[in-house]
Amino acid sequence: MAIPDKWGTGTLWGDGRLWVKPFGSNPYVLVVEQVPQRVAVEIAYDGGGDFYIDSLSLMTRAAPQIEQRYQAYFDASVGERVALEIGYSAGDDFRIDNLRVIGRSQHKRNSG
Amino acid sequence: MALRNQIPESDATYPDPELGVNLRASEEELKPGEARLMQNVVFNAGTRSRKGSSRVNSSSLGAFKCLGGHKYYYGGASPTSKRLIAYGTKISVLSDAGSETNLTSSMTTGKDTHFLTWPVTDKVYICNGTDELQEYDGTTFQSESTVVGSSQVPGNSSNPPLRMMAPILDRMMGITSNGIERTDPRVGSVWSKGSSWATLRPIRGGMFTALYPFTLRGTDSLYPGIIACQSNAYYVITGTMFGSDVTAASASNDDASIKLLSTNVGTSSPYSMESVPGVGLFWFTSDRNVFWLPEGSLVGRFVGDKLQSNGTTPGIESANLAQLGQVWMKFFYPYLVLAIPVGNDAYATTQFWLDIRTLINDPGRGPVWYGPMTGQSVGRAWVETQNGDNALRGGEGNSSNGMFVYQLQAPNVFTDAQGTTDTNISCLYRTPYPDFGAPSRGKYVQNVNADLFMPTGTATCRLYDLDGPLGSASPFTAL
Repeated sequence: MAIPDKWGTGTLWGDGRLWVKPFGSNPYVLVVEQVPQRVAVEIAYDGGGDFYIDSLSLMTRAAPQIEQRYQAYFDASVGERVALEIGYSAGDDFRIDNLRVIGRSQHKRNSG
Repeated sequence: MALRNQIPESDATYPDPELGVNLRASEEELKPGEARLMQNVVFNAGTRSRKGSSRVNSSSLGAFKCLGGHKYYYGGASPTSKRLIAYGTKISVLSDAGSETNLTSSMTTGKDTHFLTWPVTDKVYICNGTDELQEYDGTTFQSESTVVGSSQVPGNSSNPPLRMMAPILDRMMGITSNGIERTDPRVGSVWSKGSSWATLRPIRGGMFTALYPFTLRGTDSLYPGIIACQSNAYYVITGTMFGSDVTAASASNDDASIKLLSTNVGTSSPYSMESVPGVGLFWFTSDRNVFWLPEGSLVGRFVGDKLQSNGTTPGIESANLAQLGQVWMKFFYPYLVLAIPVGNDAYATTQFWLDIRTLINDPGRGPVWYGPMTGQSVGRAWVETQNGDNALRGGEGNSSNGMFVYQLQAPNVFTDAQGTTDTNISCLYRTPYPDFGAPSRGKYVQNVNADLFMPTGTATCRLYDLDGPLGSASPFTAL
């Protein structure tokens, strides 16, 4: 089967939307200019013909800033070990998927 | 802009609580993957709120606590079922719509009530440790002596009443003050009574406290059995023939035996004995731990150590010793729910959930518990999983809330029904205490980032170090 020149809904290559196009060693490349924290891909095909996926790879780099959906601000100096207590009592569905502290190690405590 | 000496990416993320709650370890000893507190949360593809409860009957049946509950499945080729509840002096049928049909109001009030459906007769049998054995066939509710005019019915006349029953082959066995009595083959009305051979007696002092069916595994065979407990011992009862006539003076066709397995581990909590398919039998011990007898094995072990709290959160060490009879355990996939009365409570007010899926799929993690689960006051619980049913039910344990039956772990419910009130489930999840790779240095916390799913309301975050909480909780705001 001949590889089509390009697949997608956009009008121009490189316009920042979704494109699939024969590219380099990979027959098809999808260009997505987003900065997610975690990435999953969903492949769909309803062309009616035979379809299989030989390999799937992600070309990306880590962005300098972690993007997460919620933030609690503290600006606090604490001890050597830190635990977090998360509370929720709004009576609805609630889920924690990822929990990360943004801070630094600082001067030695209890020295001397 | 990055902070100087910023906590590195690899250390900054708190691991998921895949190992569950550990109330016993010190803050320093908590392992990555454990949690100090999982109040009303479980780890199930994310750390998430447990499911709540809804009521079956919308209005109270009176100022009573639930004494027993059971779904009676019967009917053979035309299967049907009825939900039976005991409260006050009553045994009643409670429909899915919450309407009550009273079967009797003549039970002695306030007695813990046990039900046993016996497929041999397709009837359900009811005992409460005081009254005569009762039976119900879905139409007629009656005292057992009414059936045959028998003088051999426990609780009839001066016969010691039954406290709990269990089936084995073509018999029922039951606990009385004599020991463990048994029926004639395939009848529920003729029981042994202080027999020199048919009545099984304990080796240690004190009465039997609980019975539960249990299959023994031999080299090439399975053997029917019953695990019988005293408060400080457990036994296995087995055999293939249990006597032709249990009222006879001497035995015929009897090879039943009772064997002592432990002189230290027993139970004072008959409602806590629960079987988990493919895993084994669990019960709450009189010294307030959870004992696991793996399927087919007669060698068990304790699995509740992580629930013995050394901190301010009450664990199983706080179970009310005067109310151990109110402890219950029920398996409803994927959790084995342990419910205990804490402190001075007279009914179960705190639950801990054992993750059976993890126990089976990843036994190397050891027992993974979640909890404490607070906000419910369920005194009895039972599972309804036949004829298209799939629900865990509970009966209210606090008479002040009124007699209600609930669906527990109700899908998409995040409030708890307690009497006529629905209360939001209060989630508190506290992580372990990592040092972020710099154990000798204090930390400056700028903020905490999280991926949360919460359609309504606001979650809060509070910092703790080894000395305790630091300031008040801060709200999470969307980025």
